[in-house]
Amino acid sequence: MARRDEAAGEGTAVSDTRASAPPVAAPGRVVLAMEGIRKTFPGVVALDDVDFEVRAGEVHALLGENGAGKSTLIKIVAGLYRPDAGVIRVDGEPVEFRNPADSLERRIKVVYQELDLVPGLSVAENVFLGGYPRTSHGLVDFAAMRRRTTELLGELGLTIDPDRPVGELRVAQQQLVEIARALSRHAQLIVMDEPTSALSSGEVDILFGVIARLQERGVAIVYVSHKLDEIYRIADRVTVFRDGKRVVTEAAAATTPRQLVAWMVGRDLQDLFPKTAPEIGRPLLEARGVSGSGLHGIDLTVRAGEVVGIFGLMGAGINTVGRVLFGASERAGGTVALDGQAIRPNTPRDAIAKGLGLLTESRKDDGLVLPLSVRANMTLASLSRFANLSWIHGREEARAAGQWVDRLSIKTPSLAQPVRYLSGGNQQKVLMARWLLRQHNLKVLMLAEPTRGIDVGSKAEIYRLIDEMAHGGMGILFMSTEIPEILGIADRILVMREGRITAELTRAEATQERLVAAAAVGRAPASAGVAQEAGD
Amino acid sequence: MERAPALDIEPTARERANPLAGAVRWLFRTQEGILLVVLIALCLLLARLSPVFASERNIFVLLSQMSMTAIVAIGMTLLIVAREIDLSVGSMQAFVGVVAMQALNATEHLLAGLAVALLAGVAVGLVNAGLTLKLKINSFIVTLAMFSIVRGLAYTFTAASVQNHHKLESFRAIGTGFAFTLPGIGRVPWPVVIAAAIFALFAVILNKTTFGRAVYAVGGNPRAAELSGIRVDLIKTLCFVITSVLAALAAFILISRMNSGQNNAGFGFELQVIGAVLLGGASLAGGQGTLLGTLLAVLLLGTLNNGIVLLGINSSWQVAVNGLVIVIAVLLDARRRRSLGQD
Amino acid sequence: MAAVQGQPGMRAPARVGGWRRALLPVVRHEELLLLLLFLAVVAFFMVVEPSARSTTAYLNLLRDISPNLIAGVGLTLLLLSGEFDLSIGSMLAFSGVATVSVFNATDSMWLGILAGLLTGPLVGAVNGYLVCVQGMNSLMTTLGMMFVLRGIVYVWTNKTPVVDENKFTAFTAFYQSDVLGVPAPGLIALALIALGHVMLTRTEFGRNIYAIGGNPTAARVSGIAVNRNKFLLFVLSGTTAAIAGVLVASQTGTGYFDAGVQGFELVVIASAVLGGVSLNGGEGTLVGSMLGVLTLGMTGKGLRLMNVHITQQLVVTGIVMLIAVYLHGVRKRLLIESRSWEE
Repeated sequence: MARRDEAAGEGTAVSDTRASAPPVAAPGRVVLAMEGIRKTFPGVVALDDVDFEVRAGEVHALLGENGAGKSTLIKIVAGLYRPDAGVIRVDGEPVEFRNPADSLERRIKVVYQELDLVPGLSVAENVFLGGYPRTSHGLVDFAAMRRRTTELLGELGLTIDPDRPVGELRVAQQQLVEIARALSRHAQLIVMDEPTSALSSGEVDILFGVIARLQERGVAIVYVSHKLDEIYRIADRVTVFRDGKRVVTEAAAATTPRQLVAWMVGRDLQDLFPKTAPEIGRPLLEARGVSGSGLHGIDLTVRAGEVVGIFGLMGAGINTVGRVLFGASERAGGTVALDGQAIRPNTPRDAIAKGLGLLTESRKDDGLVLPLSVRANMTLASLSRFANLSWIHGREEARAAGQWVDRLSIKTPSLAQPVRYLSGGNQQKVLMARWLLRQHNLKVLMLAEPTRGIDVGSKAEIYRLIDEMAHGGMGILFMSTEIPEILGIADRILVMREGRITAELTRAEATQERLVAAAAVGRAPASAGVAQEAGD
Repeated sequence: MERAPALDIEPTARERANPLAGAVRWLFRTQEGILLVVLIALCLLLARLSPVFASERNIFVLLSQMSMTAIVAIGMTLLIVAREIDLSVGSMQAFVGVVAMQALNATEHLLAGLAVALLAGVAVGLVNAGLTLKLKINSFIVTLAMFSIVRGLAYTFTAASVQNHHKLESFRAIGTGFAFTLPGIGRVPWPVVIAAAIFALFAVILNKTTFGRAVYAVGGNPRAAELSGIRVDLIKTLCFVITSVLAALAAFILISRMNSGQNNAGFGFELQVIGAVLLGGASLAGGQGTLLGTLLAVLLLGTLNNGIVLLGINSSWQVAVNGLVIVIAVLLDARRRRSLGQD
Repeated sequence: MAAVQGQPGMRAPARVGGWRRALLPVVRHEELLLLLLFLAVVAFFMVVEPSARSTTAYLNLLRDISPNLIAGVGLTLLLLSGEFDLSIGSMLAFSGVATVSVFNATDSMWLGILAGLLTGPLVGAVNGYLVCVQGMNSLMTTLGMMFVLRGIVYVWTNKTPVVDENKFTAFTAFYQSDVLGVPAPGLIALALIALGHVMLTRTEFGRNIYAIGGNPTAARVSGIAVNRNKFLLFVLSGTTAAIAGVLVASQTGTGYFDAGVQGFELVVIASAVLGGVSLNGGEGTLVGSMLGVLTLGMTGKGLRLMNVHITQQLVVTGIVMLIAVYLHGVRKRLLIESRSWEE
């Protein structure tokens, strides 16, 4: 609340305005310094003795695979988590962030991937949420708020009616509203968590223009992204995380994409991916000209015994492919057939009955039934196997579920444990088991980012299972935004960008560079040199 | 046994080795266990304080009275587990009561009256389900509107109560007769037998059949259920219909007991039923709740009311005590959740 | 923004139908839609019922409906923050009985009114404490409080109306009086609505209610004290219900033990929902909610003028409610479509 006066800011008509904006740190000065930060969660060391610093006026890119510790670090900076050990200094002073308000007080603003906007409120109100300017009567000064919002959005090169409800804006505009919100609080450090994942290339240009302007004003930016081309476009320095540790901090210009990937992955991929020679049979899943839900003219074929990978950056629509083929998202046009039988659109039941399975990308939204037991979650899609005239044979069901708990080494005290209490990796294995229990009725299994947010050991386990299922004659469609695993397990890779398939590469042809290029600019180059090409 | 999911944490290895420790844990850590402990303590207390309490007559009167709440609460448990609600069950008591009584008087046939009652239940259930699922209006609102409409229909049907003109013996027996004699205990009233049978039937359905499992899945996560091949709308429709039919059955027992169909019957009944279901451990968020918990909650509330009467306390306290029990149950639940680190 | 990936039709084909575009102002401004609905109801009754054409009928409507409007103010604000208060029906009786009882005990009219009004913040604070500090579900908590309060009133009054022994004519005359031709209770309601409207639209507290109801995480990370604000809203809801209760008592100078027992809380919630308030919080306006109260009130009043039996009004009321809620759904869909027209 103390920030209200400043938030009202700079020479507006707000009656109780005292000061103009406080000065932003001089360029080069260390704004945020984190020393020896450690954070553990039950069973996992999320951050292990990490040092990290950000200087005024720099764009500091944060890189790392999922689970490397980036998001934990961000949440500590935001005041959402408290570190177990370590010191945080802002402007050289040691600080303690007990809640988000403390962090905001230090003029640090995190722009999250899940936008923290109130859809029903206007743009102006969202920008000033938590600290509205007031008139002398104590009422909200809408005039000042509107004017300041227009100014702030103007600084970002944006003209949006400040009275429009935020819910009516496009995602890119919403993102810029979040940044305007940071400016309204005179943030000296803005953390952007994968800000471009839902933006078109034109919108990305606008965002980068904004970032450049912020930099000139001395604002420090921490930029989290998977996209190497973006990092080479805007980052001054890069810090790479792996398995909760900081691997390196380096000037961006002094690194090569190959180096960055090596730092990020840092392990021998062959051990992770027990890929064996495939025996590819007849076509099973055939999609022709599928559109809807943001997809355009998707053609693909998955054959028996084949693992087909779909790669794309966040927002490219890779997971939507699985959802549309399965009927979980709207299919507007095109045909889908499984083993010669047409699959009706928008009816998951029909897809399942004909032998298709889908492991969705969001465990909690449409995967797990959180209050139900491990066993009930596992057998949800195959319950009829254990039932006569709908009477469930509990013992058979328990035996079958128990076998998979053992085989997948799922850590749970019992089969009756509500799945809510399992760790993310174990929850993911429960969902894998749901489809494994349907194996004999399953011709093609589609998996959307099945390894997201889980530890390396569980990942390897899941890769092994995929390989095993393919060997059993099943077709696999594997959707992922992570290059190493796509390269590691797919026999054939489709690359997507903006809802279209832009390239198809065999296992032999596929390289990191080609994938990135096809995903970022829409075509696969003959040779390497991604960063330069995408960066120009 | 696959217990319906509760908030409790699973027993540790040591507790599994020692069944007694597990039982103690169940008694004091689960909603059902706590209700059972409180119920037994209350019964012992009342038996000491009032010589009448433990008498055969009192126990069976008590159980007969509770049977109607129990029957409707069984359906409501299914519905709440499936993440829907029905506020129209109180108005159903009036509507089904007058319609069924009229049918009885017109046909002089027990089954005709019962059939009319149950058909009315099916009809209202289908309307509730249709409006909720097809027009996609929150069931709280739909059934709130039906709460008015059904009550209004009862009044429209008859301005006064409908008396039982023909005094069918078999009809009166449903509410006030006895099914059989339990040796050493006494004559068991029909309402108690009916309620017990329905409880057993739905306990089996909810725990042992694919339908029961689907109810939990649909309430716990409708999207996940749909993507696993479950027909979400069908399951929910069935739950709505079951609830309304059971409400109609309770109304039928009620008119038999009162020997008339009254158009003002069942005021506030829906909130009593919902209160009992939630006290029994079901969650409005869906996917959680057991019939055992519901039954124990109904018994606890009924026994409390009975105790208030027996001890000669102003019967007006009944309402307040019911409310207090609900508040305390929710408070305990909130604390338990917090200690488990949820939310 | 992984969620964005799966969203169907982010850019729906923008075929602009002429009639749809014509509807846009109505779609945009919910209050306009509600006003039209209200006027439609008024027009209907004016056509079919001559006595609905007099101004007096509407002034009397304002008088009759004032308790609903007043209690609706506090409840609407609470609903907007995503919480419930089911205890306001019992509050009506509690504050009324408190008022008249204190009349009789102290022979002072002002002390009585003060006592009646103070019951509001008192009960509101209890609700607020249980929900905001103890983390209890507000639907359940206030359901329990509804029974607790009603029970206390029953015990207190022994289920007999509490009559004002002093016959304070000023108290009863106030309810019947007019100021500048407008019924006095209606004026109080209008004043509270104006106050509430200004607070909701012009103060930071009011705007924060929308943030809390619309996206609690966003509210928290923006440094808004979510629980403190909610606590205040519970106190407010109790207070407006108490004001309504004192007014109900002043109708005849009697504290009724069963005031509001026929689902007052449900009617007010239904009115708010009819007025576009979302039960999930964050959506709706006070003006809309009040138009909802008026529409339901007018429906009842018109039917009464037509001599439709009070009880049959329930059917019509329920149907009006369903239509209104359905229209809100349609409006929302049109609003979403309208976005694609502009881009």
